[in-house]
Amino acid sequence: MNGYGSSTHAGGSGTSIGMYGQGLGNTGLTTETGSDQGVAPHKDQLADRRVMFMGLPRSGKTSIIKVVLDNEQAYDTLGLLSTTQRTEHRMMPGITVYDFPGIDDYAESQYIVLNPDIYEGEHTSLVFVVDSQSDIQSAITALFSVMRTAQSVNPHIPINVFINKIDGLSEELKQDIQHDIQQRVLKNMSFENLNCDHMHFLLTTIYSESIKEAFSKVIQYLVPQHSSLEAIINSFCSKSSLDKVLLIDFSTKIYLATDSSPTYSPRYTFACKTIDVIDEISALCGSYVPVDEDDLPLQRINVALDGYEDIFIYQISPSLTLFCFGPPQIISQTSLLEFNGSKVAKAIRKLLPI
Amino acid sequence: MGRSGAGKTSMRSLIFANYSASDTRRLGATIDVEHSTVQFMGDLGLNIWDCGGQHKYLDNYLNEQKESIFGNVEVLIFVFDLETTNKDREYTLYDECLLNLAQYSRDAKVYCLVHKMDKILDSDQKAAMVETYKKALNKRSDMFQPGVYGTSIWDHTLYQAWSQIVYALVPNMATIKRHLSNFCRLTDAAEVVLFERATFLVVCCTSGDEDEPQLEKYMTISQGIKHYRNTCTEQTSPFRSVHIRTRAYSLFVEPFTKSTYILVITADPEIEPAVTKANIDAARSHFAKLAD
Amino acid sequence: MEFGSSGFPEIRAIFLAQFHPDQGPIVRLSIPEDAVDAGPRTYSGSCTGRSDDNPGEEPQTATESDGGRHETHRLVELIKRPPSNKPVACSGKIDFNSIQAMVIPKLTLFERLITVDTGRYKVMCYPIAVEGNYVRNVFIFNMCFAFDIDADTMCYGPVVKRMGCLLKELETTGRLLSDPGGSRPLKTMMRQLVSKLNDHGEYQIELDLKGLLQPIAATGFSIKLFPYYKNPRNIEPYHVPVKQIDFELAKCKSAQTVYQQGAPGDVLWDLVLDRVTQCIDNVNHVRRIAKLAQIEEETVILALKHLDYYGCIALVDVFQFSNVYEAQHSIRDLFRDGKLQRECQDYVVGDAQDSTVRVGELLGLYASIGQRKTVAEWIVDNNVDVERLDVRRFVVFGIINNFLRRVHCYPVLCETRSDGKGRDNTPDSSAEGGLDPRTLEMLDGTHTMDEISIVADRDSAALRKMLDQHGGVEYIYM
Repeated sequence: MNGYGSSTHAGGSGTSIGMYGQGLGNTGLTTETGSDQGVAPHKDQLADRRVMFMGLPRSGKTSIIKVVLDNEQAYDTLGLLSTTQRTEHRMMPGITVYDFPGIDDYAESQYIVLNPDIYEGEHTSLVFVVDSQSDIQSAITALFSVMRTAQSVNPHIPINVFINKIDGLSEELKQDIQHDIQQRVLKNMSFENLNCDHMHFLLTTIYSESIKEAFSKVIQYLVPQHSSLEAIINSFCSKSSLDKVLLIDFSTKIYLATDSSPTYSPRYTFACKTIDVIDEISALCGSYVPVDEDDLPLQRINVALDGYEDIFIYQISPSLTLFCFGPPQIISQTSLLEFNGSKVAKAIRKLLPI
Repeated sequence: MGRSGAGKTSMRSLIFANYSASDTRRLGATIDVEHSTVQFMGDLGLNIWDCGGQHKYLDNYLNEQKESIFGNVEVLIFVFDLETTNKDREYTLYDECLLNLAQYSRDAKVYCLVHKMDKILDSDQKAAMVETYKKALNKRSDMFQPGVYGTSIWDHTLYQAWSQIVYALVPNMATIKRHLSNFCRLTDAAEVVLFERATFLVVCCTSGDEDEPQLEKYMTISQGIKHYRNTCTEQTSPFRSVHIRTRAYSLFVEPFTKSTYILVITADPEIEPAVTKANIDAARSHFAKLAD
Repeated sequence: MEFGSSGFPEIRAIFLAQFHPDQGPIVRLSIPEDAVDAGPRTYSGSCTGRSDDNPGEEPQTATESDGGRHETHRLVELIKRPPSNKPVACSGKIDFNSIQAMVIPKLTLFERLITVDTGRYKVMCYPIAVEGNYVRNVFIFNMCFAFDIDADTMCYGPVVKRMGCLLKELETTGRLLSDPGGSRPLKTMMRQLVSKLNDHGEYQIELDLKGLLQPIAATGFSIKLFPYYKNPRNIEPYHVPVKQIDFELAKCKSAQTVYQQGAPGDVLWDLVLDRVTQCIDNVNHVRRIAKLAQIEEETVILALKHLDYYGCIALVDVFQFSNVYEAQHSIRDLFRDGKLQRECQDYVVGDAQDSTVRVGELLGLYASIGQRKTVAEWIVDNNVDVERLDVRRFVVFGIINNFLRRVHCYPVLCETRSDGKGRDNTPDSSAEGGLDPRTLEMLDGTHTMDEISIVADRDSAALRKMLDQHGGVEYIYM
């Protein structure tokens, strides 16, 4: 916590914790926005662990949120109306996603610039969506105005630039666009003495799993006890001789944590598709049995492939599952994996508020 | 057979060429007749003639080429377009086809698929629509007893209809069915379903208790698996099997004989999955004699 | 074969076929308008008036249905094609129904030059499929050119192909073809294309594209016909060049075009060419020409290739009385073509200018050639008056105009027999007869007698004699 935290702590902190404490369900690491003489049009407070979506109008912010969090079909988001009010979406575990209206008119940009407190907090992350198919320059201008304000109050805020709507572009063109934007942004940042350590550029489209992957990377930073989770998964991975383990949220297919080996996008995409199918089949074959307090797993799934890797899925809670890739001879030893899985599940359940 | 744009090629690609429903948007029109041969259930070779539905082609089929088109037909699948603007023409074409069929291949089976059912949202209306077609078609086809189904590429109905068609085509279906229910009883399984390997069409299904087999459920599973199999192939790791075990049930999708996959669902948590798996392995060689 | 004023075969008709998503292949535009018979357009609804065409057909089809009797009546009748419509082929139109499978073919044949023979016309086309945002995802069209059946359409190949590519470009950039508004400019263009290509052999397209949905930037294109030349043939030492043009005249002409007024004839010509042309007397074979002109054989062949390529000379075999010829079907041409007959009469008399040979006699003589008789035998058998008729010229004329075909003789040395015979009967034949190993090597059935005789440097009668002496040689005539 930085020094300014204490200065804004003056007014009614106790009530505000009570207000969204249950929604977050975690420790009292709360920074609430102070009521600064009513300059802002929306005078309210933001949740502690938060992701803020900003960008020009029609860059795809709401679509992204709908597709990732509400499991909507990408095609259905075509008819979405533009967002006029800031909306919030809760997602587990205790992270809130804010969807800001597009920065187009004076009032909006004023709001974002004049309320620097929205960027405060250790667990705040900013996502700036850029439409790769339209005016990039004005998007960058808007990004800078946001960035200046944000970094003035929170120099360590991660800023994720989603280069969106890359569907239908060739691989080469995608790389070019990313390079172009990255160069323009980073160069100007160094001119203005902004800190570019926390900048991330991600190529996304709602028509593929790339958006979920990008979202996962944003979320991971905010997940409570992230390092401990990673340590647990790492040890599970090495002890069971697995190639790759992902801790995936079953409904949104975002991965909250993974082992420290690099995550390849095709593998993640494949995992998403697998979960889709499993979800479809198990929805048909019967509903879940209510969760008991015992260690019995909810669902265990083996998928055998005629390749180098098989898949083992171990469900920890109705929403969380361990998704493991491993060599066939390991995956076929189901009982051993299940035993290890149950231990990991226990640990994770303790770490995460489920 | 059917008029242009009715969805003949779409349905063929979906069932036999592993297309997904949205992929069919990219298909072009069929030029003249497209012949394809599919190996089905081992040694059953299906020759599929996908006939372009444009006027000029229909005109040719019904005149110059009628002997080659309508000769030696085992199954005529006539696709009706629900959205058609002129139903009379469609019926007329149907009449003409049947007339020729009666002349050149007397013993052919006729199936009428009322396609693009997804355009009607209400399920009662759907049923009513199929019923209207059924009445009209029964009246028109005196000699042939057409099977009429409402289908759509967007849900399992197409698979259902095709499963029926295939069911009629496989010669020793009754034997297979008897042995399958035997197997179901012996393994204490709740449900056992046999899928064709290449198309994942439901060939035969049976359930332990005397309930009506939930065909729709199997269709959805088969479609899901088929779709997933395509994804796997894209990842260069072809799909082999799935085993889902929850507290309530165990579900196996395993490669069975050379030409089939088997789906076994056991509802009793007491049954060890390994036992079921061993049973499947044991039955494999027996069914290989029947179904391949 | 008729040639337009531009010297190329004339385009008889041109039509634009396209794949209609509902009706299948149709002819959208054609020049002249009634050139193509697209057959009965059943279903299209425009043939309501046809119900009284063929009353005999009705009872048979109508009995099948009872619901909506009158309505179905009409429709059923439309599907059944009235048989009276059959004699399409003799109407002088192009029967589109019979060629539609080739004009709108399966996808594998797209963007390939296709020539379809309709019996009366030769239709050249280059089917194009443009993928894009269309009703059925692809837009298929084909600009077809029709010629007389016997026209040499080689030179139109590039034009048809270029037209196809051009239209494809116009379609992808401006939707010219799929837009109904494109019909007018297209029709104008097609009409001009026919007349300009027929008259001048080239055409500068200026499209009038007012009223189109999408503007097209480029509207001017040029199309030109070029005469088609085959690759130069291989010339062998035993070929005999025969003059097809008057070289002296050609020399003068070329000089005149450069110097305007008369200049020394041989100034402009390549020295080799000049020497070679002087030695061409329609009898000398290539090797002898090389000897006479004292120029290397390769150089002579190169020069002759040029002359052959531009049609200045024709190549025939060495004329010998031992040669065998065969009459060809194309001798019909001589029956029909009066001009050719006179030409033949003039040519065959040779130096005896006063006498003439009747056409009937000539035809009879040409027809009697064959049955594997040598020329010498033929002369004897048919009592040919050698005084009046120059046999060499007679044969050469036949060869050049394809009435006659040389039946080549391929000697084959059958090893086993020759070994036995060679040792027993004629042990010293090789010593005195002089069959050198190179000649023996050529006796494998792939070399003609002519080739061998040139290599062995003996005339074929002598060679034949030597081979017979050597023994074990079989002769294959083909």
